[in-house]
Formats: sequence, C-alpha cells, structure tokens
Amino acid sequence: MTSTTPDPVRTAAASARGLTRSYGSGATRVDALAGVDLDITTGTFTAVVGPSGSGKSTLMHCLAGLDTPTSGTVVVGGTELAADGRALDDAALTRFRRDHVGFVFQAFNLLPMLTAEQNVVLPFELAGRRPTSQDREWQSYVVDVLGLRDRMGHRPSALSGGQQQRVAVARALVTRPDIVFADEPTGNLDSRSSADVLGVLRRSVDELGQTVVMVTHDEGAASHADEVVVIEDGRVADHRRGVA
Amino acid sequence: MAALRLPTRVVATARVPVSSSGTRAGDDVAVGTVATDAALRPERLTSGRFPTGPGQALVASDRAAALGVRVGDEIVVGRAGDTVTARVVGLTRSADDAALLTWPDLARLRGDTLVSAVVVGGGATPADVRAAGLPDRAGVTSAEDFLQHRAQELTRGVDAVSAVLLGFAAVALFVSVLVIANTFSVLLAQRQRELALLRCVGASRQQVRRSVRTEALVIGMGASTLALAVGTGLGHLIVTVVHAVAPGAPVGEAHVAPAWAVGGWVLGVLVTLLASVVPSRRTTRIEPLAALRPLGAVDPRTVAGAGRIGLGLVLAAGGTALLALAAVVHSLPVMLLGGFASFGGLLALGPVVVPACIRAVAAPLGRLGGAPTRLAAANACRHPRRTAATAASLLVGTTLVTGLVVGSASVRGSVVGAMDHDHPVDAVLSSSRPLAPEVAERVRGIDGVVGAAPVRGTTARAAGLGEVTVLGAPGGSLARGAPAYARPAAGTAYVSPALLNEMADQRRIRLVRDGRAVTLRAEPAPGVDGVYVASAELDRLGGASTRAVWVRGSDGRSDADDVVAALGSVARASGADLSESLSDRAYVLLQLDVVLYTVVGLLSIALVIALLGIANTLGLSVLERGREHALLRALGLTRGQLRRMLAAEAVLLAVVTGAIGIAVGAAYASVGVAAVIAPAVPDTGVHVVVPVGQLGLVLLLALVAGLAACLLPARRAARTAPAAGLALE
Ligand SMILES: Nc1ncnc2c1ncn2[C@@H]1O[C@H](COP(=O)(O)OP(=O)(O)O)[C@@H](O)[C@H]1O
Ligand SMILES: [Mg+2]
Repeated sequence: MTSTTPDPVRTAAASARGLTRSYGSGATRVDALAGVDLDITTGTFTAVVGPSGSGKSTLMHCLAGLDTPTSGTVVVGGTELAADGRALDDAALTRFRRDHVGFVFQAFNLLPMLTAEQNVVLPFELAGRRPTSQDREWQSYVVDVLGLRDRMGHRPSALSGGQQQRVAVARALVTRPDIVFADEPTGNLDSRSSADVLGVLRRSVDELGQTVVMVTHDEGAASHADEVVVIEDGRVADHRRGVA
Repeated sequence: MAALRLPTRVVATARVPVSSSGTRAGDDVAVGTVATDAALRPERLTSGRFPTGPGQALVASDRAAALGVRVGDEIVVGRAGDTVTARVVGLTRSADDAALLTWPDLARLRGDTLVSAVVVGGGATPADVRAAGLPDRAGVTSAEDFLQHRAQELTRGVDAVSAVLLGFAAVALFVSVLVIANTFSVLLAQRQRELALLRCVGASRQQVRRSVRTEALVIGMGASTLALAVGTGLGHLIVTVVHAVAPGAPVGEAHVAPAWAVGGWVLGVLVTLLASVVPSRRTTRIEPLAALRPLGAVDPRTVAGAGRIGLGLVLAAGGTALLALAAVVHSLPVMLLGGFASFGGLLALGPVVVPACIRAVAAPLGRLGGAPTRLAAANACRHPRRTAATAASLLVGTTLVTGLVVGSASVRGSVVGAMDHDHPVDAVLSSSRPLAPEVAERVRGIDGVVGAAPVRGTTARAAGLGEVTVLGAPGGSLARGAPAYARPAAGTAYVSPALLNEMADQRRIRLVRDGRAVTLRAEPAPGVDGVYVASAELDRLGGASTRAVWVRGSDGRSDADDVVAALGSVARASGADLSESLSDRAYVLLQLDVVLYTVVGLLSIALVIALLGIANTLGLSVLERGREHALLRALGLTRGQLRRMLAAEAVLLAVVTGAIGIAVGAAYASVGVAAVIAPAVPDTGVHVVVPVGQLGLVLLLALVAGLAACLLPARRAARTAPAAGLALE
C-alpha cells in the first residue's frame, strides 16, 4: 500500500507539512527529519514505526510541541505550532502541551516522590485548576478502565513496570487532550505488560474516542494500530492502514 | 631622701577623674605609670615621645579620642585638692591604662593610687627601695622579671586570639566535612549504575571502594594545595592593604610558618579523606545487578536507619538533661558536654526532624504557592538523609550565630543594667554658684540630648564634711533605672559614697545652713556628687537656686564624643563643671558590639561554606533530576514555574533550617546565661534577651542564601529544552 493523504482540514488531529529538523551544522549536521508530510486522523490509533535513529522520536517531539522544527508547518488540535521557520515561544508551547497533549514515555514517566494518584492529577495541578466534578468522574472511569483503582495510593517504586506505564497512560488521558503521544511505551516491558498497555491504548481509542500516536520499533506493537506510518531516514516511507 | 642610683620603676595605677582644657574627660579613668628609664619601659609609642620627667604624660592612642586629648594638650589628673597637671608628650599603643604619668606625679594623688610592684634594675634590695623613699609594700621585682612578665601578658593576649581563631577554623572545618561528605554521597549515588557496572565486569568491593577513596585523596590534595596558595596570597594581600591604608596599624609582615603550612595542607587532605569514609563505605553495598535495572528505577532514596535514630534520641535526651543540670549547678563543663551531646543528637535525628519541619511549613505555603511549591516540598523531603546532611552545615552556623547574638544581647542587657545602677544620670553640669536658667534650655538644644532639667540646690555644712552641696532631684525620667535619689523620700538624704566614707556616723547626716538645721537618714547613692534630698527638706534649709542640670543622652547612635564636647562648651560658657558617663557608656557598648560583630564575622565563613554546600547539593540534585524536569516541562510546567520550584526548595530548606538553628541557638544561649553568665554577675543579675530584629535578620539571610544557592542550578535547569532533557539518561 502506498501513502495516502486524507483530507487534512476536517479529520486531522495533527498535521505536518515539509517538516524538517536538523541538529548541528556543517560537516556534523544531522537531518533527523528531512521533509515529513503527515496527517494524524482524529479518533484513530496511529503507530509510527521505523528503525532506530530514523527520526521517530524527533517527529513526535515536533508534533507534540516539545521541540521546534527547523522548517515546515505543524498544526495540532487547530493550533499552529510552527510555520515558515517561526514557532510559538516556549511559554505558549508549554501552555499548549499542558492543555492539548498527553504524553507517555518509554520509562521514568512518574515522579518518584508522588503517589500514583498525585501523578495522575499532576496536569491539573500544573494548570493550577481544581478538577471539576466531570473531570473527576472521567478520572474515575479512566482509572477503572486501566484497572488501577487499588494502586492509586502507592508510590511508583511500589508498582510494577506495567502498572507504572498504565498510571502514565491514565495521566495522559485524564485531561482529555486532543492527542496522546506515546514514545515506545512498551519498550521496557515484558510481553504480558506490553499487551496490557497496548490494550489500554486501544481501548482509549475505541471506548473513549481518544486520538493516539504511538512511536515503536516493534512491528508486533504496531499491529494494534489503525494506521501505520513508516519512517526511514527522516522521511515517511509508508503510511498504510493497520491490521487492527 | 637618698636618691637611688639604680634604674627604678614603680608600677601603680589610680582610678581618678581626668580633665583636659577645663572639660571633664572622664570620672573614673585608669592612670598608670611610665618609666623615664628606657631599660624599664616595654611600652611603645605611636606618636610623640616618652616623658623625660614629671609634668609630662602619655595617653593610650585608642583612648585619646574618647578623652578628647592630643599631643601638646594639658591634662589635669585627680580629684579636687589632689590634682596633677601634665602635658601630653606622646601617644602609646597601650595597655590597660588610659593615661601614663611618671611615678613622682602619680604619687601625688596619694589616696587613689594603688601600687602593684616596684621594679628595680641591677640587684637593689627592699632596703634600698625604702631608703630611696619609694613604696615597698607591694614587693620589689627585678627588671628582668618585670619585662618578661609584661611580655608574657602580651603573648597571652595573642595566644587567646589565636585560640579563638583556631576555634572558628575548627567550626569551619567541621562544616566543610559535612559539606564534602554530602557532596560525595550525592555524587556516588548518581554514579551508582556506573559503579555497579564496574562490579559487573569483575571489580571487587574493595577495588571499588579504593577507587573512590583514591579519588577523595587526589581531590583533597589538589584542593589543599589550591587553598594554601589562595590563603597565603590573601594573607599577603590583607597585610599589604592594611599597611597601605593605615600605616601605623599594629600589623607585622605577612609570614608563612612552614609547620603551619604543611599542617594546614595535611589537615585539608585528612578532612577530605575523613569526609569520604562513610560515603565510600556505602558504595561497597552496591550490587552488580543495580547496573541492569532499568533507568529511573534507581531512585537512591536515603532514609535514616533505626540505629541512627535511636542514637539520636539518646543523645538528644541525655544532652538536654545535662543542659538542664548545667543551668542549675552553674557548670561550664556540664553545659559544653550537654551542648555537644544534644547537638549531635539533633544532627543524628536530622533525617526525621528536618523533613518533618519542611512538610509542616510547606503545607500552608503550598496552598498559596501552587504546584511548584508543593513539588518543591516533596523534592526537599525525598532524600531525608541528604536533606539532613545539607541542612546540618547551615544548622551549625545559624545555631552558633544565634547563640552568640542572644548571649551578647543578654550580656549587654546586664552591662547596661550595671551602668544604669552606677551612673543613673548621663551627665550633670554643676556649679557652686547659681546657674542661669537658660543653661538647661541650651543643653536641651544639643543634638543627641533627649532631656535636661535644672536641679535646685544650696550649700550647707555637715559634720566632718565641711561645706557640701545639697540638691533636690528634679523628678521626671532623666535618671536611668529609676534610682531612689531621683525621687527622694521625705526625711532621707542620698549621699555620695565618697562623702559617706568620711562621715563618722554613716546612718545620719545633720545639715546646717544659716542656723537652720535638718537631720536626715543617710543612704548611699552610687553615681552622685554631693547630697540629694527631697524638695521640702531643701526649702527648710533655704537659699535654694539652680545649682546643676541633669542631662539624659539619647540611646541612639549619636556620637557620644560630639555630645560631650557640646556639653563641655555649654559648661565652660556658664562656669559649670561637667561630669558625664556618656563616653564611657558609648565606649563599653562599642566594645560589646565589636566583639559580637567580629565573632559573627568569623562565623560567617562557616555560613558561606554551608551556602556553598546547599548550592552544591542542589546543583547535583538538579543534574540527577534532569529527566524529571523534562517530564514536568512536557506536562506543562513553565520555565518560570520550574525556576520557582527550585527556588522554593532551596528557600524551604534554608529557612526551615535557619528557624531550627535559631530556636536551638536561643535555647543554648539561655542555658549559657543561666549556667555561666548569671553566676559571674550575682549583684546585677542577668536575664535572657532575645533580639528579635537581629534574629529576623539571620532568618532573612538564610532566605537570601537559599535563593542565591538556587540561582545557578535553576538557571541551568530552566535553560534545558524539554526535548533535550528527555534524551538524558
Ligand atoms: N539532540 C540531538 N543532537 C544531535 N543529534 C540528534 C539529537 N537528537 C537526535 N539526534 C539524531 O537524530 C536522529 C534521529 O533520532 P531519533 O528521533 O531519536 O530516532 P529514533 O527515535 O527513531 O530512534 C539520530 O541520528 C540521532 O542521532
Ligand atoms: Mg526514539
């Protein structure tokens, strides 16, 4: 299957056009992204796959407002993060991430001195707002879906790797962000915990209507996705429908 | 009188009034002797020359300004009737006495002179001394003994100063050990994976430990060499600057004793090694498997073991009991033992006490400060042992500073009480003739005078005393410490101790004027001239007119010398005598301040080391948490919030530690006052004075220090872009 580009205006939760990101200059210059055009469809589970060093993390960082592209346009949830070499400033990007994006990283997702519950509500804390009763209902539902109800009082050091990742997923979902980015969320997990976390991400798309972008180099993990984007040498090599 | 041909010197002092150009320079000035013979003269000049005979005087250079005299001035020494006039021919770097006369002059003061020794050169005997008409009661000393004794006295002063300086150096070293040990602990905790990897590839526990200790040795040697170079350079610089700024200052040439240099270097290395002992022993507990655990799973949480807490409780309880005992039995050794034990206990309990206090303070603050403050509190408490170790160095400094500040304020209170008792009225202008009414007005107009009132009086005869001045106290609040004679009771006369001593019947005084007589109960009144009676008694004698003016100086920082000079010119213009305690009061308070500021200044070195310790630990923690900060930034923590979070952590730690140090230091000072100072001044008594303003300043400094400590780490943390932070290990 060759790459198809769905209508960007209506259905894209995130879209990139001519996205490049280079590090260094001169002889040591590395083009981590060398012109990426990509649209992430709202309410889908997209897997970004590719060999190590191909630019997957860099792409995710640019789409999530964690990094500023060298050139190109990035629009996420209706907000233009970067266009024509100009980007939102750090404060605006920070606010954007806080209000519109959820994150799950490969490891070290949780603050060790906070309990699971405190980690989950951290985004509200940082925004300085009290969760509304709706927020709390939603949080309760997410926690139940993730099977974390009886783990919320524990500190991360008392949780297994899989449980820690599920807490991270819960935190990414509680604010109902426009899009959730997960960078190798199962990279450090055994196969059972991996399956658990992938199942949870899948359910958040199916049951909660969430948009999820997951970076992985594991083809098995990609099989849970609706769409699969293949990155090679900083370019989109393929964009196909997944098997899920 | 057969003249003694051998060189002689009489060592004597008198405490007498001294006036210069008609102004009373002091009521109770120590005046000593100086030999005309150079062989018996250990004194050194700062200007002018030595007296060559009677009628010439030296004045101590540090008292000349207070006495208002310069070389060439004439001073009058002694009480009415028994005075000596001498010209000041030089200033001397002295000694206990403010002014020095030749023995023949001092001998003329008779009753007031106390001879402590007669020094003779060349083997004279007491008989020779008697034959020469010199006093021999106090004993005769050979010139060699005398000069050696004087030299020893001088060195003892220097030795005491050296001991005090070494004491502060010891405090600084102790704080350094705490800081270095903590830095090693943090560094090794961060290198845990690296060290575990070494173990994986076959390094034995001993090899790992040895590598860490070798590192400490190398660092210690490097730092000691650097410190020696910087210290020596600084010493030379200070001496050069002092010589340039104040050419006459009593500072010798800079000089590095090889034994001290080597000793200091070795000490520095030993301190570093000592500080590395515990942290390096901990590395041997690292298992090889730690290297294989996933990143981030290694959270080196440090808590205090049960043994440490038990020991801390025992030390704290035992030390507190000893302190209580010391306050009751007035024992310095018991107090020191209790102090060290309880402080050791506090340091051992630090991992429990400090985080608990931080949490208690942070709870209400977190509600105000939002997420950054709450996260800061959690961060400050996450490694209780590390937190306690960081706090310990600051705790030592703030406890000592507070102890000194409270102790010195208490001593000051007691000294001021004693001065109020001895000299209730700051200054009195008095005259045997009636004074013009506007004199009090003119005195009131002087800057630094807060009140002045005319005192009515008359002259009467008293048996055994001849003519005495009888005064009626002017009420009001001009006298300090509300002495009885300021509000005389009917039927009572308040008599100066000097007059009282000359009365046959010291309980009763009969005053007669123009055939009118009153008989009053006599009471001693320290610090007064003449006799004070109630107004009604004065009217019964008749003929009262303004005879004196009482003056109250301000307690503020106005220059006592200026006030005294202004009072002196009013006194001269109106033909009155001035007697005052203002300059002595200012001098004594200045001495107390100088001691306090010097000691606090020396202790501030320990505070600076503690501040570096906080900055160091925080900087290392920030490195350690790079990944975590990136996560928080990804989740929406702004740069400002990140900076605020780190600032709040440093400030919480510094201020809470400062508060604990202030509480503990104030408690120690109270014990010290009860155990050591109160028994030393049983008459006036002393109570604990807590100078809230100064202690507030200590807390404010802790806050500023905390902020300063977080400046660099916070800057670096905030600069790291979130994406870069996420790429960190
Ligand atoms: N901060 C950086 N500085 C320099 N090169 C970088 C940096 N981050 C990533 N790269 C380079 O960019 C390329 C893509 O990296 P990354 O997006 O992390 O790959 P992936 O996640 O697919 O493994 C790699 O060659 C990597 O070395
Ligand atoms: Mg990657």
